[in-house]
Amino acid sequence: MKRIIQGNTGPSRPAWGKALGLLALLAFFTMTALAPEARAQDDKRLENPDVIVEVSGLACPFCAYGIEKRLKKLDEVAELTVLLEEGKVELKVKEGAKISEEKIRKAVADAGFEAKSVVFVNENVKAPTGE
Amino acid sequence: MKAKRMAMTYGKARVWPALAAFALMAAAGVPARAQITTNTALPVGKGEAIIRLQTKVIRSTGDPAPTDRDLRVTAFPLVGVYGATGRLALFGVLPILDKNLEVTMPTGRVTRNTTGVGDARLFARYTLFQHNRRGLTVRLAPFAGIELPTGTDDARDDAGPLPRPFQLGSGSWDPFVGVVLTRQSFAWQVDVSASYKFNTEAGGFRFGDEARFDVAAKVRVLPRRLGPGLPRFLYVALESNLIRQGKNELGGAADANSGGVTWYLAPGLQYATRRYILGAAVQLPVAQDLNGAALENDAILTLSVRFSL
Repeated sequence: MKRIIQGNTGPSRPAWGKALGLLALLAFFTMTALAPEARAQDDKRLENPDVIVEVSGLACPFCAYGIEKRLKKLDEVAELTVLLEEGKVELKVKEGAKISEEKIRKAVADAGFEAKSVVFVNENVKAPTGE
Repeated sequence: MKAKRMAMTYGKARVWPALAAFALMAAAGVPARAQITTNTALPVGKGEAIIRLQTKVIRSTGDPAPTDRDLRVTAFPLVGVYGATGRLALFGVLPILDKNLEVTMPTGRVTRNTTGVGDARLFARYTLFQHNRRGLTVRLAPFAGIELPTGTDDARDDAGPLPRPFQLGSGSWDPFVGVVLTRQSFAWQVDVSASYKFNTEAGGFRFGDEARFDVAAKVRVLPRRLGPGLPRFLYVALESNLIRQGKNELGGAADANSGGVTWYLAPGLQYATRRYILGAAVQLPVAQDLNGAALENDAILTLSVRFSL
């Protein structure tokens, strides 16, 4: 638990000055390195989604992943995409499967958000409430 | 120059407020979906798990005395979060600490060091109120928990037992409560959090109670315009941490050289994607009104990464 140091390390420069310098450097490299990355969009849209869910309260990409995970856990969901600015999640339902509005709303609520509306573009995948 | 063990009683009254303030900074305000130094009320989905790894580095220097004390503390708070429901989130924080104090003695420069697991925190946060619309959420969430005596509080070295504030743990069970209000939109986010920790006595020693008031704001700088899909965000952040610690008590008597008020401003950067968030900030002590003749803190560097499992 004990360490002994020989000699005097001498006076230190103000640590806050170094820290600010480090942050400025970090900011420069971050802005430079991440700018193209941040401009990039995961903008794959589903072709002919079966269901479009309008989600309230969704305002950052990290939060969107919570919804994505909850909806992907549903057995009926084949694939999905989150459209952040539009506040929508598009769902593709597995072939032959049906899913209820209630089930989708519960998954969104479990993710900590609210499903403002659930629109079945493909009525054939809609299961009666309770299923 | 001949090295010699340092007696920790030397100048201890001036060092401990800085240590105590750091312990508070290291352990508080680090939930996994938080801003960089401040809590948040943003949701953790049911069954969702988030891990946050953080590094905090503090240095206290500028000792006017010939002792030229130099205190360095590095903390690695590991944070785990689990969503019990869409509204209830459970948090665990386990800090790993490394504390060093260098001082010049007549016989040379000496250091005392202690490293290991600090006091863990367990707490729960419940979303009491939420107002949502497209691209906007406002949430209010109280939280409560306890700091467990998982860090050793009886470590010693060749010079004898380490003084209590220099130990890794407090030895006491310390409950805390707080509340956080968050407003998040596509363009910016603000979090306001207030909390209070009731420190209890252990082994005849009691740290002063701790109150803190945090405000954090961040503005999205990239992408400038949102497009389709799920873009990654780069934020510029400014956070404020106001911390008040009461005086420590030893054998029921208050230590006049402990406790005080510290106000930090922390500019920083945050990069958020759907899977992870990177953050960096420097907490600058704007004002420090510490009791007695305390060694004041310099800047605190905070780096963090969090990812959703």
